[in-house]
Amino acid sequence: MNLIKHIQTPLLVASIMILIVTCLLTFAQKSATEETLQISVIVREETEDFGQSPLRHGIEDAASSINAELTFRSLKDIRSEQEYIELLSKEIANAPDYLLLEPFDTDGLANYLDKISKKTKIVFVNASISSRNADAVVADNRHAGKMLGDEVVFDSRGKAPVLIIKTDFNYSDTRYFYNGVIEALKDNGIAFDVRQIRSDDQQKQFFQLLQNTTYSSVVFLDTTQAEYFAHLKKVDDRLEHINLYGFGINNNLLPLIDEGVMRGVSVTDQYHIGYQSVFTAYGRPMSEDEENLYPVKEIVVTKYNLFDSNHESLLFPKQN
Amino acid sequence: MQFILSLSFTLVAVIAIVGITVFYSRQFDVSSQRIAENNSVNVIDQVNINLDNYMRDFMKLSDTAYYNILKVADISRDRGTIENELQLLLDTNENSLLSIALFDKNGNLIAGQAGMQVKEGVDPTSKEWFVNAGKQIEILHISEPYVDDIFMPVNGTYNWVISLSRSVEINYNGDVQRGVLLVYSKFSEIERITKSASLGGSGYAYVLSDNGATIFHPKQQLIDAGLMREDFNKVLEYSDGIHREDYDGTSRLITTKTMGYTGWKIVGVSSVSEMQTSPFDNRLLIWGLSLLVCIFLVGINFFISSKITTPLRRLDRAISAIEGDLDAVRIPIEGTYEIQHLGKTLNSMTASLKALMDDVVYEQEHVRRSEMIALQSQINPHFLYNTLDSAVWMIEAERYDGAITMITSLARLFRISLSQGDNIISLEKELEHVENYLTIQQMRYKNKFDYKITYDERLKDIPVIKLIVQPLVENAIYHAMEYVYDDGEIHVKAYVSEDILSIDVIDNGPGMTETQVKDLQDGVHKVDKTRGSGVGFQNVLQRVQMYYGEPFGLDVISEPDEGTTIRIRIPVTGKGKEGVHA
Repeated sequence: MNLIKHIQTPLLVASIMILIVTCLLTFAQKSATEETLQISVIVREETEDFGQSPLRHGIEDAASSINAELTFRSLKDIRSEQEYIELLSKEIANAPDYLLLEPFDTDGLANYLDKISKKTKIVFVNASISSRNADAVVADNRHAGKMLGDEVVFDSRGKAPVLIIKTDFNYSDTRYFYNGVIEALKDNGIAFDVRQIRSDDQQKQFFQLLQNTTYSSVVFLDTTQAEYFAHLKKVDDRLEHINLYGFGINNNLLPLIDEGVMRGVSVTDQYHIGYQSVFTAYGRPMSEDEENLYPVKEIVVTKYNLFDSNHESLLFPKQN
Repeated sequence: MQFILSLSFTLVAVIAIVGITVFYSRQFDVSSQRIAENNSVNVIDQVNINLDNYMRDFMKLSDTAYYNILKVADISRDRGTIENELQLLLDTNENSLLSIALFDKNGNLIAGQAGMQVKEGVDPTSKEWFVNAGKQIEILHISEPYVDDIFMPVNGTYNWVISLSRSVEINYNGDVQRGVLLVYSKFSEIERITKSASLGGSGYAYVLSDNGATIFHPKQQLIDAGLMREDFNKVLEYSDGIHREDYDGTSRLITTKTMGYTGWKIVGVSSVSEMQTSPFDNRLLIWGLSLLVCIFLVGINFFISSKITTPLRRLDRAISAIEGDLDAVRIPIEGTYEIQHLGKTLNSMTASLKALMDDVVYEQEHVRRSEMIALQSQINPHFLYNTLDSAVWMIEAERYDGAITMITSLARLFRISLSQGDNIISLEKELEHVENYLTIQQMRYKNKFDYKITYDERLKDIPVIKLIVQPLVENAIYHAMEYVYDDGEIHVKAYVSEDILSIDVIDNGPGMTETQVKDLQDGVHKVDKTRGSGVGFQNVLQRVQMYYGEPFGLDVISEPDEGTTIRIRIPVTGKGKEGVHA
């Protein structure tokens, strides 16, 4: 009893001291550890794992540099504005810090995004719509389209006309690209037709289009369609003398360009867009010298410049 | 005192700890930076060794393909064997090698692994590796990385490669012609080795060719996209070792090492601020520990100072209490040996002091009691003699009633005087005593004066010390009634006012002058041995003040021809002052 009485005060003092120091160290540790940001990404990649996607690499590299966690969602199966809004609602319910998304180019979605952007910082990737509260990171797709249009004009050497296989223009980048191509063709007085192919029995529809008019070139606004008809060209003599052009690249299109099956493809630096979109959301400059950073690169890839050292990094990124 | 002790101990300790902490913290910074620099150099050295080994293996494989397979065979006869052996070599080194191909001097593929096919329209002779091999036939030519652009891609996959080309002799049935052996190394191996360099959180390593082209850079895409800049030309100018440079507003360390055969430069980049992150953690730890020690010291100081000062404080309180009631003093025996010793000594001293004081009190009380008894004993013996003489005279004159009255009064007088030894009697008894005395004296003085005693019956039980009124009455008879004829009067009056019991002895004698009053109060009164007992005023005054204390006593109110009033003032409670017992 006496012993307890004697050591009571020192024990109490020691306990308080240890408590204070523990609190201090915990506080210091907590201060030193930055909070992890949550970024939700909703893009139109074809597969859930996105494969070798430069856009995803760009987003991941940027997220890694700011200690952010990513959640990717694909718009693969999203077909309507309502489905898009439902997907967004689910994602917003997770309360991410930032939302990077490729928006449908519709007024309804714009209104919805205006509403939710007050709670969550939104950055549009690759496409922009008229929303007051969101930034957008996009390439100059009109310019990209014009560059490809010029290539088409150069290759056609006055032969006409040109067939443009358009899409639903769900995304603004496709629409801007289309406008660029049209502008180039019009500027050079090249005749062109604009048609759309439904997803069922594409081959039949395509050859029906070719029956009535002899086109020198076909421009595809959809990458999947371009890939499909490029493979078809390899085995179907009817397409032998038709130049095929496309918008956007994937690993399957590269050999087709290399073999000259695809005459030219317009490519934008998706890594750049992905990387910059994270920092745009983050609200901090990527570099002190940001004003002097390059704009998003747009190139037209052909068989002849595929292995150009300036294009290697964009077309064949080294990182796995 | 405890605060000063704690503060002094703590200040000294904290200053010492802070000094030591600052010193060690700085030492930590310096040594941490040195360690980080050495670590960076070691890491880059290791990358150099690994890459060097890799390139040597690469060249050895080329040598093996040439000297062990191609040079000893006849291409016109052994093509199948050559291709099998090249395939075997490739299979056994599949982690590092991608392709091995043999071209003749015209760029035709004459041997290679199965399925190898040069793309349509591609002319190998126009390629740099082919041209270099033809120009300098005696050396091995290692290229910078590039995407293979001459062979058909397998499964649509384009590979980054580093090529090693050399001029070789090809035996065509005895006819020796020159050709080019091309070995493709997988670029991913260089990437793996370089990426394995651990240079802190945002640190990285990259490899430059001797002309500043990038062999590998982990942020190549950022650089190509224009999102990041590296000043490769500046780095090329650096000698091997560590260099510090500012980049994008931050300071960073550049560690360079040049590879032997290729001349490639391995560059390690590490952030100085990140290098200081570890020292920061260390500093935090050091300062945390210092803080912990400081807090412990404050606690220990508080504890020790409390252990020292608490017994002293209690001792101080106990010593202060000595001034008050010695009986209530409890001196604690605690604390250190010295303080305990002090306590014991004080205890002993207090005990001695208490004994001494008890002795003094006892002796003083004894003295006062003796004095009181002595004063009370000063009843004039002549009075007894004269009274008895008067009684005898009355009996002889056959005035028996008077004699009886006188003797009776005398007996009562003495009975009250004795009072069974009590010094305190009631006011009633005291005044009865006075009445007996006055009865006797009135008879002796043949009714020369009258007397009356008045008091409120309610006051009769108030305790008073005995025999304080009679000496004053005696004075009134001897010093006042002597000078009057038959109309002398003595009035004894007791009353209470404001808790003070006043007993006035009033006579209508000749009174006193102011000087006489002062002499009386100062005790300069000349005692007439023949006419009084020699006690009187001073006797009563001393006894009243001895018993009741200074505020109480006797007042004299007198003027010539106006009589005299002597007023006794005592507390109505009758209690004597502290420490004085009746």
